[in-house]
Amino acid sequence: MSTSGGSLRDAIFSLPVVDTHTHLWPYSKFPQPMTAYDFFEACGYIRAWWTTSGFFSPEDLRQGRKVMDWPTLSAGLASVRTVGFYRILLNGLKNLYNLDFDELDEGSLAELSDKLAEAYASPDWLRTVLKDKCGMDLICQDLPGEIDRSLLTPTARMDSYIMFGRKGQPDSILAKYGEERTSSLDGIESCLRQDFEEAARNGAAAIKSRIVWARSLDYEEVSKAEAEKALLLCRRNEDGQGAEKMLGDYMMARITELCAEFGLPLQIHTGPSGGTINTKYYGNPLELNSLIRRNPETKFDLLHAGGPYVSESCHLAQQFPNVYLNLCGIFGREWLRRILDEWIEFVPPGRMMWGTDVNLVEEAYAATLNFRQVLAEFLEDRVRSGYLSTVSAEEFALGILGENARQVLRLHSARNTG
Amino acid sequence: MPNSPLRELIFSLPIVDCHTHMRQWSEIPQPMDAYTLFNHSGIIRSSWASAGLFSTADYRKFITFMNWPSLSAALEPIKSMAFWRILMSGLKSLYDIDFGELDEESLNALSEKMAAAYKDPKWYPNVLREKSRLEVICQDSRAAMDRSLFSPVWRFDNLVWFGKSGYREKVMEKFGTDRTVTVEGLVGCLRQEFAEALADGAVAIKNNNTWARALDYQEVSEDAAANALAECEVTGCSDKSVKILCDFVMDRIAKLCAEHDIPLQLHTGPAMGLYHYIDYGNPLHLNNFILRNLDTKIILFHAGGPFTRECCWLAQQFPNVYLDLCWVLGPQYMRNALDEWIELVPQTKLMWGTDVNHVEEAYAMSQYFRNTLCNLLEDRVKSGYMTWAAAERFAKAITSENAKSVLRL
Repeated sequence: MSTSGGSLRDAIFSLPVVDTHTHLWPYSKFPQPMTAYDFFEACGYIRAWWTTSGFFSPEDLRQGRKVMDWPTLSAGLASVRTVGFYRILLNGLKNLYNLDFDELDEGSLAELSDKLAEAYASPDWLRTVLKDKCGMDLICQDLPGEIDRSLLTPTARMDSYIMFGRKGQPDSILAKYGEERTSSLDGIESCLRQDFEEAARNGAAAIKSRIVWARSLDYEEVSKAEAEKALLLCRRNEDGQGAEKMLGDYMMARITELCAEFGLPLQIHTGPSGGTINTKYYGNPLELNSLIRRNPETKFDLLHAGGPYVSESCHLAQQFPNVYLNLCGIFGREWLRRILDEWIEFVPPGRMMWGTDVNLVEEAYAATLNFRQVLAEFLEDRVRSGYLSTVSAEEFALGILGENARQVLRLHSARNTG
Repeated sequence: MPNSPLRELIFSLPIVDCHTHMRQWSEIPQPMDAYTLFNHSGIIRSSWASAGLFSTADYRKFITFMNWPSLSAALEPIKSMAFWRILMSGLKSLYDIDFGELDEESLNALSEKMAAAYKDPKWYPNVLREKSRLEVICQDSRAAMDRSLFSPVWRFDNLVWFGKSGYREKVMEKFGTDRTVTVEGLVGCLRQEFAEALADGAVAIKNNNTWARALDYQEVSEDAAANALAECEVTGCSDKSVKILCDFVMDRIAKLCAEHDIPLQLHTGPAMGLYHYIDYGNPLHLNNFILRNLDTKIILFHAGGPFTRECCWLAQQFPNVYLDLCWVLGPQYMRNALDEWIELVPQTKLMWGTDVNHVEEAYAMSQYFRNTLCNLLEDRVKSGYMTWAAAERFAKAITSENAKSVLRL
């Protein structure tokens, strides 16, 4: 990249990006005609913030409550109007659909519905937004099921192995491999290896873990003998000595080792889990310190910047050459800026990545636009203050927008099939 | 932009460097060059390690980059990091050399300037005294040093880690085996070390334990310490005994610091290097230790790393806790810490240091500190938070007055 003949900002807005983490819905999942109400129903972040604001009860969120009239939607949007994600989304929607309004009202909502219906009538709309409007080169999709390989690269989850000992856990491993293979630790480990082989064959870019929904990240060192004993206790439904956690710790260690063996980075959700009324401390990335220390050959990609634990993530990346920091799902403008301001001073630039973490292409567009804007302002300020030269600012942008992800994630196979 | 009177004042103020590891003049090769500077800079080396330049197996080895292709490749991944930016800015100013990013030509020009400057033995003190305006420099070492420039800071690592093999033998070698089998004897050794430190003119006692353990020093009775010692004597020290003895000795060190009115400087935040436990350096682990040692002046180094806010609240809560910005790299990071501390911590409790190995790094760090301090105080005056007079008082306090008072300089 060179800004000769153009500004740093122009370069940042023209560079292709790699979206390292998202959950995009397939085209087949959207109704025809698509409306603005359907849009907000599919928008996971808005629904989560409705719950935070009290507009939704946690039960509403779980049951998928629909909001299909303007008075109710208006009240819901009013409750989140100043939240970073909503401002970013609104800006993205106006820009993408060429709409002109201040705050969304009944009239502009109807106009948005018309534009959505027209755009979604074409099956190419998702590709157009992602490739042409967002400038996305590669996209890592964290959603089970078939995906459009010309657009998306899959990631694979192995969390069911970590939760294997939990009572009442829907047992996908048992269903896939049967009782006999899963009755011994060796058998379970062979299932895990098989799943890794399948993931690698399937072109997975990474292994993803989102265990903070269910437990903390403090994976202690557990011997095979201890794990075998723990498995026995779990099978007997006797968890008096923390057998479930012990078995989970052991399986996570195996997952981490297999990541190194298969050259697959391990993407770990850090920070609080999505939704509400969860345990915030579960996502503290410092809990991973011991696991990272025991696995220097595994690439750890800490998703979501650690949530409130941004400085902790920063110092882990400084301390461990195999730790990468991922800004996916960071939507505030100032918040994003503050993180970049801290990280640039301490973390080698090759270790930072970005992603959208959204369901809808409109959200992806809004998030990409916001990231490019914040990055441009941030780097322009750093050049103005004399901290960076223009050349080093360009290199930083090139890295964080895509080059670093290409180096770290297993993306080569996806590029060939794309 | 014209210089404000405050900026002029801050750039003329003498500074006390509360913490450094400066290579002595006699340790510097002739001719000195830029390759030597970069390859022997602890902060650059740790940045290289962090960037993954050294393999897991050999990151502790002293691998060097002594030609332009290898050095250039090594510098590439750390170019946007704060210390590199600070150092480049300092080198350009100190050696009056103008370039954008460092390339082979500017590196050679820099090396030539360095070699010429180092021919004069006065260059080294000149950079510290005249260019950096460092009035007092606290050197974290008891080894030989130029006393006209440096004041020593002593560590008692051998006694702190008495339970561990390697350290234990060194204590026995110095004090004899008889004195180290009882708690009374061990405390006697510590007293002797203190007397030697004071006789040597030590201005503080320093501890670096976060490399090996968390800062959670528990209260240990003499009986428990005696039992741990006995175990070490009979069957060798268990990990539990190592910790008990370490806790016990750290408490005695704090009490001796109070007795002799000498401050205790503690490394907080992550240990330097790689593969450490970040949480070991959380200063909140010190809460009980501080509570038990209210008469000891405890100086928390490095702003606590990621735990800047925790440091702040400890300093607010305890009149005997001081905060030292040594090593705090990064204009925005330091600014954030100062913006928080200025509002919550009495200004008499803030200090600064370089924590570097070379005079060029010390110069760069002092310029960067003065600049960051100026920007902060000018903004604070402009916003109406403080007056020019209050800003000047703050600047004088943090640059040298507090250190002189706390370290009794």
